Amino acid sequence: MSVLARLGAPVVTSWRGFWEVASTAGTLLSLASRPSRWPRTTRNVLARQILFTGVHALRFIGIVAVAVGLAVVLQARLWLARMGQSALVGPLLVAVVVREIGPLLVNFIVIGRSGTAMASELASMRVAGEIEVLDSQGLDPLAYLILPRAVGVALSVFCLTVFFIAVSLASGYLGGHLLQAPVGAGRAFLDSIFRAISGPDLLNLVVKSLAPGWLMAVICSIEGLSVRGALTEVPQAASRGVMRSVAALFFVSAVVSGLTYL
Amino acid sequence: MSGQVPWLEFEAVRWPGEAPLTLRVGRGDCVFLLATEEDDRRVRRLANAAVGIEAPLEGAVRFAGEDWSALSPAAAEHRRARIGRVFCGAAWVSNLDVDENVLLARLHHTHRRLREWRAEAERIAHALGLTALPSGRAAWTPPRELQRAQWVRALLGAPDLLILEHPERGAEPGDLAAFGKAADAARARGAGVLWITARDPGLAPVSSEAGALRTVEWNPDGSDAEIIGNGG
Repeated sequence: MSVLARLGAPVVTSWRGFWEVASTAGTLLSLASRPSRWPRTTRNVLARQILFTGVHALRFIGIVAVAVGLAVVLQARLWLARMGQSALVGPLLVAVVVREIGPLLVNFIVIGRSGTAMASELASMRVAGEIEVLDSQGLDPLAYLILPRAVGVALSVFCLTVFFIAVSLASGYLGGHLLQAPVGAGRAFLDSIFRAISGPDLLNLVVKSLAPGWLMAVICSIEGLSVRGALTEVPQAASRGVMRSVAALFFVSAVVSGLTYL
Repeated sequence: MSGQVPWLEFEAVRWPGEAPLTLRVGRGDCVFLLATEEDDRRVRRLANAAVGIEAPLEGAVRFAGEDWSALSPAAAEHRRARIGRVFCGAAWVSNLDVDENVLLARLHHTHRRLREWRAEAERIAHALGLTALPSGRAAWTPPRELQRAQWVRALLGAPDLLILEHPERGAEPGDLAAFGKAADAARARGAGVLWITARDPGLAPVSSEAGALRTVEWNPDGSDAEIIGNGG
């Protein structure tokens, strides 16, 4: 193999991987835009996915949100009040919690919780011959397995992110009230937050929660279904799925932040 | 039933290290393909080729006159919905219950109500000697019930073609007689049956009245497939 070929091989492989994810995500987007054509079996899988990724994760996301509320929101209020800058509480928390920490942490948790499960489940199905069973009966794995997972994960991440932001801000507010910390008036805190939220913040929130969730489901599904024959490949597929999903999350977050605020 | 396009045609189909296989399953036909018990991977590969999800090395596989390789993915999926299959080896999606597995393809491809499909599945299940459709996971269901549930799934929705990979496995003679009767009923309305078996086809409880019965010896050593019996 020539030096040029050796240098180019990883680039070609990476490009193919990127193209595979992009084309699958695009095809799914087109399928997702016509929900009236989804078979009812796809809707059943979607309901299960939302239950697993969204509803079952609520408690854990809530606990993390309370911790973030006490650690970040309360401290921000406390320190800004001490410096006589209480008016900056809203803009600061919107910039930190709404724009960045909320979507990032929720996506991280969902990747760890659902991404690994999804990649392992699909890889196990592939190894056990279950994908063949579905294919034989005319059930397209893209429409039956990947589409409802992508839609379910994206919707769940969005809802969980809104829930996370609400709980963390509420716990920061309540924490200050219960601890009787010198953080200024509660009403002023809430007013400051709502005044600081702008249109681009909402757009940022929507894109940063929907897009990485969508990509995570696509990446983990592709990794899971790419397994061929051996059970030992299952954890490897899950690991690859998580790493690539995390990379996609940071990439999307950086690009969206750049486009929205710079 | 000459003059009509057969449901399934294998034309000089070949896999690595094997001789070409040519066979036709016409309307009302039952073709027994003799394989050995140890040949599960080979049987599965052939059945996969028959439903168009695995291409052979050479040759053409056609369903209702159309080559699988020439069909769009969506068209191929619609045609697969018309084929009932009894699998050897993996046959169930493990995150669904057995009854959900049985109904899955019908619910996917049609708009008919769930309760109507369930009623039809229960009717077929009763005819095959099951008191009800098994409702637990496949891993916890006895093999005999699982095999009969596979029969129900294959027969549900009046398929045009039945591909049966060792359907007699795990079944008792009484069960098999009921299944043979159901297969005959399917043949009488024009369905074709490809019955892959390691047993003497003469013991299979199907009738020559419903259509032609043929036996094809499918040798694992690579020698030519050979029609060794032609009844009906």
